[in-house]
Amino acid sequence: MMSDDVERRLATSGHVVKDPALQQYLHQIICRLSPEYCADIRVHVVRNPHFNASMAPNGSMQVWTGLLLRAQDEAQLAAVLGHEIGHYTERHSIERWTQIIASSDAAAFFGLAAAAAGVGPAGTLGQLVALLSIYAYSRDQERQADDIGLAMLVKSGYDPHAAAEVWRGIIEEVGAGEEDAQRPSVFVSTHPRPEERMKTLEERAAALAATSGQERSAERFAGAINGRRAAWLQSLLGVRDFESNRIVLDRLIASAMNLGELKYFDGEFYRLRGEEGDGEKATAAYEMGVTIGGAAPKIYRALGQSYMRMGDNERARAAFESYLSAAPNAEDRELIEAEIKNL
Amino acid sequence: MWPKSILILSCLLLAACQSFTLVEAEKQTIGGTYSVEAQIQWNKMDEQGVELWTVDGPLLQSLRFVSEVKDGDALFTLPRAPGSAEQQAQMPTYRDDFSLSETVEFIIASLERYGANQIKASHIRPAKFGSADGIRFEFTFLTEEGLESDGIATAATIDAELFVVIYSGTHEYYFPKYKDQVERLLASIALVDGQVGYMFKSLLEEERVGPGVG
Repeated sequence: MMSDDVERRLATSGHVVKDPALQQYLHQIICRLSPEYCADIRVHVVRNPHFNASMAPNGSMQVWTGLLLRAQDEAQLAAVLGHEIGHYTERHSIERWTQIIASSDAAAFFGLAAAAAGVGPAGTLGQLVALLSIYAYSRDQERQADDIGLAMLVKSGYDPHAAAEVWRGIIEEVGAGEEDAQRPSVFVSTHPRPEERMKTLEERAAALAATSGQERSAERFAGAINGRRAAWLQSLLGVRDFESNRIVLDRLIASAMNLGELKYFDGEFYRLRGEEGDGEKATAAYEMGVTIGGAAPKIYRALGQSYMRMGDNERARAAFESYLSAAPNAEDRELIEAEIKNL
Repeated sequence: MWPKSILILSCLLLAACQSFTLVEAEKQTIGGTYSVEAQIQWNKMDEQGVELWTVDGPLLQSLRFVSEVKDGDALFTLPRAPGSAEQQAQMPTYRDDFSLSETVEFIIASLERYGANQIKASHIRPAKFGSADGIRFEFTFLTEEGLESDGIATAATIDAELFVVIYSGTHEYYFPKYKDQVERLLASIALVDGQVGYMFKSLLEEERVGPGVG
């Protein structure tokens, strides 16, 4: 079966995150949402900064780190997972496959399927993404998956408002940046208009509010991503989509979860963007991150570079020395020592 | 408009049709800026403006010479494919006022966007690039297919342009196979007369000597 081939390739690809604890956490949420399908679903965490999750007909679920980065609590994450389980339980991808085979899309579909299965020299995540876009579900299927996902949230005791919140975030972000083959648009393009879905989900959540649970599990979610988020943020900033990245960062900063770490990445954002006045903003963000605490030692290195750029060699030296003191075995120790010597 | 399936097939065929020329085991000049002593015969191809050498095939091991990266340039140009223009626009770009650490970060971020997954750099240090002051580090990464791979990168700024040499290959067999020869090649880098390299910008005005410096 083709989805088995895709899953085999995904499971061994360089994009998949080997993190059993994180996979277990996600699987626990899936089992809570859908105990009857729990044993059939396998979760693969994919390191990709864009927002996406998907479910193949063989029970293989992809959760991209971009989704984990954007979810603000477990309820929001569960809203997306529940939606994807809805597609699975209703066999939407199989229905779509049947439609494709009967239509003029068949040639394109099988061309991509062959590439994704490794025929040819360039079997990559990009092709798997392209495959997802061909799997685009109908509006009715999406509405059905939304209904099932919302029902799962309510049955599991999560706050049903979380589903509409996810879409509000996507709307803000998609409106800010440029289109790209792997941006949130991958998720959005396969669905009805986000505004319509958000409104419908808000209305249904309001109707259910009196009888539904209110659980958000923000702390449990924070514990699950603790120590992992920095790598995902690094990956996000690796994509120079500054408008979209700014929105994601602002939302995270508003949540104030490990603010010191976020201030480091806030500074990195300004340093990488490099517009007029961004140097000063970067320095201010690093300084605040140091004051708050909780960021990795490299915040001192970043601060040292900021001061060095400003010509403030004395403070640059102090910041670099703080970095080497906090990270005595840093891989770039010799380089930083050279920077200090050069001040 | 061409059907999508034909466009995809064209991309795959183009990628498969790369032409190689032989590199003899002798002194070779790279971009007119520096020379290296090739210890063995290599096969050379042009990879979107990057000079790529390999013995067993680019997917197994490769030696990339990236030359004349100017302020605002990306290190790599992505092959033409649907959506590649947008992804190219999101590639990191070089700034000629980068610090040493920023230059290292630029190379690592560029490698990540070019398909080196979960890259980890080690022993990042100042190093000679011929007579120029440069940087060097080793790294590990996973290929798109999840194959464990190793790499070496060294770089220097020469006349305000960045020059980078990257050797990479599979952790098992192909990277170690020619590592010693590559180490000797890197040690043989010699700037062509008149080229002056630097990585320490503040020393530039005081110590840099050579043609074109008033």
